[in-house]
Amino acid sequence: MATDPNLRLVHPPPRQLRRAVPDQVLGVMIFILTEIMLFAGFISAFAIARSSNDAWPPPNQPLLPVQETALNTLALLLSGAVLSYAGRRFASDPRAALRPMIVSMLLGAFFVVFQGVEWVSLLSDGLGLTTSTHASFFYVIVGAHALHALGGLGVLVALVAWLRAGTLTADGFWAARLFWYFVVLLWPVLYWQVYLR
Amino acid sequence: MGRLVRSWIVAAVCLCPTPALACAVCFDATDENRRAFLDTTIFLTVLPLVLIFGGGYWIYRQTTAPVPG
Amino acid sequence: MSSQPTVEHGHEEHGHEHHHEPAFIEKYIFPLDHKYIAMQYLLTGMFMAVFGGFFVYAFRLQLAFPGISVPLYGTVSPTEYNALVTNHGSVMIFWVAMPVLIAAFGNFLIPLMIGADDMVFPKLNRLSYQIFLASVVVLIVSWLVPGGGFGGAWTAYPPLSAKAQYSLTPLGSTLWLVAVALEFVAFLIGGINFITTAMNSRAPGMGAKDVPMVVWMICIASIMFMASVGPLIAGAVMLLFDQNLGTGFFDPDKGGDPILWQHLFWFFGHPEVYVVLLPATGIVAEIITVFSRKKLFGYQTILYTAIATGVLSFFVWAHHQFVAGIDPRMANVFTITTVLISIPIAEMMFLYIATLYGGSIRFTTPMLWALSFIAEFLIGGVTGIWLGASGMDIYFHDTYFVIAHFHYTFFPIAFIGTFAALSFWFPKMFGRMMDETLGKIHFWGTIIALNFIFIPLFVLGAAGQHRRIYNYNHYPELSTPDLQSLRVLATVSLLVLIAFQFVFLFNFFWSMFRGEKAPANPWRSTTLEWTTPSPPGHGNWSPNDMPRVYRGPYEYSVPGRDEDYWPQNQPS
Repeated sequence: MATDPNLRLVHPPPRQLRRAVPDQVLGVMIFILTEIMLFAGFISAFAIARSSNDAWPPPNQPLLPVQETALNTLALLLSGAVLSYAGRRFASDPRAALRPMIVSMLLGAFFVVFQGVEWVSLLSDGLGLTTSTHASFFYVIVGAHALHALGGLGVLVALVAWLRAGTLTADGFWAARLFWYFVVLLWPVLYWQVYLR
Repeated sequence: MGRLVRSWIVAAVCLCPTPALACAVCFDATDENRRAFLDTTIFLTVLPLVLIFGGGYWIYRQTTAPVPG
Repeated sequence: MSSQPTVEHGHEEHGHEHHHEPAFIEKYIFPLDHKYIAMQYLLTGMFMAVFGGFFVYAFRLQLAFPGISVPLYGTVSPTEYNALVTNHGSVMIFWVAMPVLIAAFGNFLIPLMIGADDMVFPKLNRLSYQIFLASVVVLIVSWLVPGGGFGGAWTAYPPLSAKAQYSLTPLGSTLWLVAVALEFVAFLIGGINFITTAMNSRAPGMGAKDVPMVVWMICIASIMFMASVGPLIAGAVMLLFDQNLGTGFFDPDKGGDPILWQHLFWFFGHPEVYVVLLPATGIVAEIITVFSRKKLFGYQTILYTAIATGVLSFFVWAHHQFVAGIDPRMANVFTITTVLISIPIAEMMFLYIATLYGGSIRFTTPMLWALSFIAEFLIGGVTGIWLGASGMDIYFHDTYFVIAHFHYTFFPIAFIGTFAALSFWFPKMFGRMMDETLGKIHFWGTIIALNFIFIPLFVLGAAGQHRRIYNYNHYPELSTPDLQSLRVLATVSLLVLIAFQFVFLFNFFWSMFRGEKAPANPWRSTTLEWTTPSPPGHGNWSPNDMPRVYRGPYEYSVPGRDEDYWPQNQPS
């Protein structure tokens, strides 16, 4: 048996490994992977249900508010953009990120409230959860996104509080931003799938 | 070489059989529905792999990137 | 979380926890320490295995001797039979294989093997177990509610699972679904922890190729779990709405599609098989290298085969639906991919056999389990190729052949893998050795009985016996006397197998308190978990003596050294 030439008897002391991606960011990335797959499941189910029904959405039910929601979509996208701006400000001066963060939070809150108002008016127009499969899908998919938006809003509120208290770390902010970007960027896909098709 | 080409052709032909007419359940309600199952199958299968390998590549690039500052 | 001062991202407050041992409640009931969370998972998984075993005992006796009053259970009614079968499957997969193989050993091994003092997110880790415990409580409640436990098979196909008038278990099916969903959330949190820890908390010097194989396998399995579970959660939400709120996602009358559930379920269901398989193969890799005193043959190849398995596992799931009315072209594609996936797994098994070749093999209990894993799993794998071919599957679908096939894969994974790991890491977990003689008695009793259970089932399946029949006497043309004797043989072997598990339970609990005290490194192994005392204290190593890694994990029988093993942390 020949001795391995790489087998040196004395090694230099090993160095600390470089942590390329911070813990929180990595954790959130993996979480988002699952979340994307969750919504991929919903979208696939929706596509299959659409294909097996001739009239889609069913003609005898209230129409979804397509234009109004387009405006709302813009509000949410703007919220994401503002948060991205806040992230850049945070790098140079954490205090300067406070105002854009609050703006982003308010835009997100606007989105959620607007959706809520939309749901109430749809419900009063007679579009219930069990009106049709289309309506069921609408409430489940949009509701699942709304839950994520509410969770993201909670995170944004916490971020503002932490920033005020001075305990917000760059990594924590990065991880929280990633989650909000996910909520923001997911919505146009759902809008396209659920409202436009 | 010829054998390789021939085996690929056979494999390709295998992928598009005429539906077995004796099979009572081999047809869905609509052709559109069958397409939707096929499309979502491809979508669901490819999406996680794209996400995992995309994320993995991004992390790999982060590891090998020069230290900022 | 490493406590090296050079780490910027550390939770500063965590460093202080090294200085005191936590109080009893903090240590055993609400622990943050990964080792105690692992014990909680392990003991909960064992507790659930008792239920899973009891269920199979009851329904197998009903099959072998229809209509008898089963001792300790009573007469099995058709509805109860369905509930027993369903919950046997769900418990064994979701509440035994997953918590023990992935959660318990993942939690215990990952920080110890990579030289970290704990998981990256200890509080999330504790939360993960608490959610898991909640899922256990919900599942047990689901057996006790009026109507009994869910009886629509662990795959929960609608319309049977969606409508109470078919399943006859209005509450049981909802609670079952909630329990499964909670369990997924628990493993989601756990998996995030595993991957992040293995990625960010490795000891200084531990590059990708110095990571022990079992850590790689648990991480790959966790990533696969993360990527595949989403559609099933989506499906579960939809099924929950169908059950309780009157929607019609899976109801053709209301414009839904029952096949849709199979689509979403198996997208998760098949990767899940490999999710539990990979940790078991990783455990086997650790054990066969130690007990053959040889370097793992083809470390990188094994790693690549595992990744290839992970990739391919996303392409095979529709083979469960060959007779469900899917597009025949799709069936062809999935036949090809299913047969393809046997290549990386077979390659992995060959590499393990190559590792054994020329080694100085010691037949200790863990080694016997590891070797039997390879042998028994191969039977399961080879019969899987038959079922993966759509032509044969049309005949074999829903026969006992399928049962025998997946038990030949799942029993090695969930039980042989667990017994191998437990007997190997028991000294590190509890600081005492398990009894070898009892371990060997348990091994032979289990393995021989195992084959006498499932080989008859292969024969039954080849004879075309359908798997979901409560009493074969109701179908005179199916219940020929020679087939009935095979069923009796399988059932009696099951009783023998269950009897031998008491040997294990006795050995486990007796050794935990009365066993011989274990040294730090009883098997003379190289990986990092053996460099700390057995059992390791809080923080695994003392904070100023965290291990550093100088070489790969399998340096056995290195020429020119006095010892035949070369621990990863020794500078020279």
